[in-house]
Amino acid sequence: MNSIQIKLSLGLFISLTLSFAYLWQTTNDSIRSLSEDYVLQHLKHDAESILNAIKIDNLNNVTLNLQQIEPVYLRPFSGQYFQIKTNTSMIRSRSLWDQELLTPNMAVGKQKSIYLTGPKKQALIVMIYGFKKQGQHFTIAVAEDLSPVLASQQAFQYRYGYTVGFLLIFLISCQIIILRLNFHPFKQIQKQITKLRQGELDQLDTHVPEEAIDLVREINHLLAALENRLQRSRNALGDLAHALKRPLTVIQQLTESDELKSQPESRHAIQKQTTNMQGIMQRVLKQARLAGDSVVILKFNAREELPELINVLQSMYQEKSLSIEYTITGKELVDIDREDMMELLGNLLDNACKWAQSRVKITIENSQFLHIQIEDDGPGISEVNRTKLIERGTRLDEMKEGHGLGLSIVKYMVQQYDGKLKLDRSNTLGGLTVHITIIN
Amino acid sequence: MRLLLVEDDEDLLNLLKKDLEKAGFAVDIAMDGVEAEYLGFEAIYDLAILDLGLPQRNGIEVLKNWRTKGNGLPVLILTARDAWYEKVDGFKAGADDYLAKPFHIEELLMRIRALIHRTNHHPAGLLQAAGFTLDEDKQTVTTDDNIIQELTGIEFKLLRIFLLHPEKILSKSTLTEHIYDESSDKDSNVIEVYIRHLRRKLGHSTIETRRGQGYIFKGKSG
Repeated sequence: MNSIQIKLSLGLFISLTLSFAYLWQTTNDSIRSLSEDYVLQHLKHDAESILNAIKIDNLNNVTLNLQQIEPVYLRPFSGQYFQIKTNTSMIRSRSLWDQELLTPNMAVGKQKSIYLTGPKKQALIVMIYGFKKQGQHFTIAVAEDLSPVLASQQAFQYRYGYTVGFLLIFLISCQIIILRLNFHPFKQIQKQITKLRQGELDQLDTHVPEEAIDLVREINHLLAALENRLQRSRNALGDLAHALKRPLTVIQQLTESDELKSQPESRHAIQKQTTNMQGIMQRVLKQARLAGDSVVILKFNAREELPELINVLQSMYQEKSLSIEYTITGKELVDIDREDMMELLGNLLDNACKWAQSRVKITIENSQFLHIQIEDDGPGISEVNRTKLIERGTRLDEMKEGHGLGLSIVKYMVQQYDGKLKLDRSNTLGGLTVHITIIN
Repeated sequence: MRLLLVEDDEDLLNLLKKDLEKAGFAVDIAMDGVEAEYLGFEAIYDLAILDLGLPQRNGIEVLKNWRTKGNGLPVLILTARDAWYEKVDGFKAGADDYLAKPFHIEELLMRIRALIHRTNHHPAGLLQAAGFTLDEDKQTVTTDDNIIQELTGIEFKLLRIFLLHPEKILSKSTLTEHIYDESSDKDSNVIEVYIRHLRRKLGHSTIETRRGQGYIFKGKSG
């Protein structure tokens, strides 16, 4: 997982959840201890009233003045209880009915609070005090049922939990929206880069957030440099070709001169070498000129430029008066550099025209794939030779002139664009069919 | 036939001029774009051989200027620039044919002849008209009864013009213009001498004289 958005969201989710959980816990604890403190305070007060209500007569008999006891202690299972223990006797509140609170004895002056399950399974909080009155030792336990407090506490917990959960979802949604909005420019840049690669743009938009502007500028700079370099190397290669071909042309013309005709052996050798040189030069230069799949400077417009190319071939093969048909389906703009595409189609059509009797057919399908099919009604190539042609490498020393001239450069191009080249017999015209498929 | 050869490499220019002259063409030369454009407007050329990488004005520009001003001079581009997009651009600028350097002279000659035939509405191959067949390679003429006659340089040049334009009046000055280049001594009276030679070889009635106008090639029908 390497998305900044997901990482940020996840980090935020964890920290918010932990904070809210901690807050929830502390709030609950505080509320619980607050309400228990309140109850304990009340119990202490009651314990003091009960102590006051204790009467000891001369015979050391302990009695309780019920007048001084709050009536709630007199109603059975009311939730408020007390129990007075001496060394010899025990007095229980009427509310306890026949139940007994199992409480320890407490030394004089000591006190302790415990939790007990009381009558009718009530959750009691019990305050136990050790007293001395008129020389007698008493342990007074006062208890109150906590259930109503616990119930309202639980209600609060639920309410509080809902609120916290809602807040958590709200905050995280806000965060995701903020992240989306702020990452939108990056999506935009990514889309632009895709367009760039397809040649629909030549620079990235610089209206982006501050954090991204340097990146965009850098990319623009690189693009310009790349385009420049391609253009420069193409120009340089063109110039080199021009410069080298001139002397080569002169040498070749010289071999035709009468002086050399009397030297057939040297003449033949010179001719052979210059022809060789010419071939090597041509192929190296053509290969080097290919833009390949890097940057498309100018796209090939099939509907506009294919007819022009066909015109050229018809002029070049005028004496054959060929019928060259073409069909283009799909988008007219092909995601391939114009010069490359012209070179590819030019070589293939030249071949087809060279071998055709009277008809050449071109089909260009440009959708998800770019599929080019060129057929002729020439003699075709046998299956064995087709396989040989396809298998022959595109390295210079592996290329040979002859049948399928220009095919090696086509093969090299198709390789550059990660495409596929297939040779077949034409079903409709009977000659050779060349299939090329390149993924757009 | 008179050609305008535009080429800035002197060695190649000289070699080409020699080869073209040997093949029976009168050749004028231009070594830069401006001169080429100017000469191209003289209505005396049957074809121009145009290099693209020229000093002062590049070949494509020269060609475009000719075409925009309505100059239909047949143009064969002869260049080292052999990428297909360059060919397309060349034809779009108005070229009639395109040959990449380095080339074989036979190929160039074949294309020049084909282009000249095409502009004069003759099929490619041997030049046939009015019962005669001209072999431009061997510079011989074959009559209907299969007699092959050798021709001298000027005779060949003259007969080629006649066969390209049979049944048309060709003035002496037109004939002179298309046979000699600018550096030759142009004496139109010499034409009469060569016409006489041709009549002797092909039959007297093949070429008619129209007084004050010129000559008409009638061929066997004459």
